[in-house]
Amino acid sequence: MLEFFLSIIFIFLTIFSTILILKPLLQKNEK
Amino acid sequence: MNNFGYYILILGFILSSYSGIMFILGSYKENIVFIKSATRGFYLSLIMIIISSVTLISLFLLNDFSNIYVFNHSSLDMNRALTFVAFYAGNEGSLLYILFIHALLSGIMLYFSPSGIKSSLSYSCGILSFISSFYLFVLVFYANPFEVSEMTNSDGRGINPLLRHPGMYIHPPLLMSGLASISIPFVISQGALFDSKKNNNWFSLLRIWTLISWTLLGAGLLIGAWWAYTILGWGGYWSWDPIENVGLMPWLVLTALIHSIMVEERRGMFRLWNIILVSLTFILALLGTFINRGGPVVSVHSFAASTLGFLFLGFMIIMTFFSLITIIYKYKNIQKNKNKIESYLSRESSFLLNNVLLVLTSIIILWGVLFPVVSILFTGTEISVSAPYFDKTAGPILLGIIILMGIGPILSWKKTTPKATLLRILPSLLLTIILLVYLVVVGVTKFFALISLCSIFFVLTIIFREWIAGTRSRMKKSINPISSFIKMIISNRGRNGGYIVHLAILSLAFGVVGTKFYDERLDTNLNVSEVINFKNYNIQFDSIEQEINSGNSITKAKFSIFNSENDYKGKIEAMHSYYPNYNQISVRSGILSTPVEDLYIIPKDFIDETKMTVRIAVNPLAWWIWLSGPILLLGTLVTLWPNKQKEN
Repeated sequence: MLEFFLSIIFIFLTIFSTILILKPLLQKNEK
Repeated sequence: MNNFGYYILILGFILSSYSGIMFILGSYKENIVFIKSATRGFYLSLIMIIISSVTLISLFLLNDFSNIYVFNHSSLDMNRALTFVAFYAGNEGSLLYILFIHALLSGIMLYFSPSGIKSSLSYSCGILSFISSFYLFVLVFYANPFEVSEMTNSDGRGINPLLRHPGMYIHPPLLMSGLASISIPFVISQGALFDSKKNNNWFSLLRIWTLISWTLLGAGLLIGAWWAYTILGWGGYWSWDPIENVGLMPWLVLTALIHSIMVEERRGMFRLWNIILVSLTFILALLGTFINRGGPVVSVHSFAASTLGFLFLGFMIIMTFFSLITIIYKYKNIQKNKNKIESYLSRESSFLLNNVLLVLTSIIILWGVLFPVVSILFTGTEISVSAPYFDKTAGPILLGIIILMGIGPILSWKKTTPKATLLRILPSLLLTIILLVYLVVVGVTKFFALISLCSIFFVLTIIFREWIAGTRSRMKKSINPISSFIKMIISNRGRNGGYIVHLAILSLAFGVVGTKFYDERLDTNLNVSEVINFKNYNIQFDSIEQEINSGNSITKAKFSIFNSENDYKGKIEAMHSYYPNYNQISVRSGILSTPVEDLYIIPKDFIDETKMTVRIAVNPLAWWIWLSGPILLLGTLVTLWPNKQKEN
């Protein structure tokens, strides 16, 4: 159960980080 | 949970490498979007490092012995309070701890840095990210703290017995933090070299971070000395062990740097020299990590030893070339100043001499550390140099630095006349001569001890004379001497904080002189109820007591101490703790400490239930060594405390 929750947290952190670092770059392209 | 910790480390490695590349690209192309993205990656990698550290601590708390690192450094019977220190008791965990401190301090530096130097800071953060990436690379590919054992383990080995000591809570964290924090001043100076906008504000940031590193490292070394003092076999508080030396060398160069930064701030000189010094400190800190992680020299500090020495050696060589190349090719980006030393009798000259002496001491120590390697290369046999080499070479230079500590601060900037200098030091000189005569009369005949004590006293009188004069001039406005003294201290925090730190060094030197030149020891067998007379003490051996615990067995020797008039002075307990899991004995000496001297009893061997072999020693003035710690912290706090008036 714990492993499952930790996997979810890891996936969330990966997606969250990717969005956060790419956001400034994508915003620039939109402009 | 182990997989989670490991994958978070990998994520941290990717984010850190990304932010490093984007910071450098962004700075080079002056692209704010790149820098913004890099900054986010920078903070996110810090979050990942924090999460993986918390995961490792949780594994310890949960007693997850499937994790090899937890198995090797924890056990069910271990005191729970030791769980947090077990985190950094071995190679993998201590690397993660160093990375955690490095990333945390990097985050603090970026968050609180003034906006005026943002352009140079993005280069700095780029280098910081690459340093983080290196540590993450080592953790992910070579020293994974989340590695799982194939066997099922119901219990662990427990933490190394030598590390079960209150010092473990303070000494390794401070020392590792001190060494890790040196990268911050280094990258600040590197950022300034890369920044073509020729900003000048970076020097105040460099000064603050240099002082922070210096204090962390100094406090770490001092607490390490105190720890060693309470454990047998470590040669007292300082044994010139290679690992002790590699901590001392960057501290000495940082001391030089703190002084030369003052010259830079006041006169705009020594800029290149400061950059060289800060790079040298960083390389020495890397050398320390290399020697600690499986370097070529043998040390008693082998807790984090590994086979990863080659990685750290490679990193050190790369960073050495990197700093050399940036200094050579990017020095043009640093604003030049035409100021020159105008007189040999000026504060900047004395600071220059202080710098030369401190760097020279570091070189001498470095030679001693590397001598076994050099001797193997040239003669084929390993020859180690021991304490007498360091005492005879570094000792006199350090004494010269102490004398300079008295004269330097009272010299004016630019130039001073010999007459003015002589008039200012004359009262101290006369008092010192009186002390010299007194010491000779009372029987202090050892030449080096005499010179050292007189030098310490000379500097002390100069500091107090300066303070008395400053307080008197303030007493014209207020009658209360204490409030006048405090106001005087606050009015010039940099200078007076420096004086307080100098007092700490004097206290340390005083203790070193006492213990080095006047310690006395006796090795003897004792029976229970026997009373032995040593120096001014009557030592009564009361009892031997056994205590069996689940993880260890303790044999305690109890003593009652009386003076020569048979007045009771206190009790001393000295012990052996045997740890069967490690087949190791941890020895604690018993100490009765006073400002005059320490009575120090080391239990060498318990022969039977009523008989033992002990070493009894009297260490004069050892108490003053430990007093220097709080004074040093106070001085640094006074120096670093923000000056609101100045900021406004």
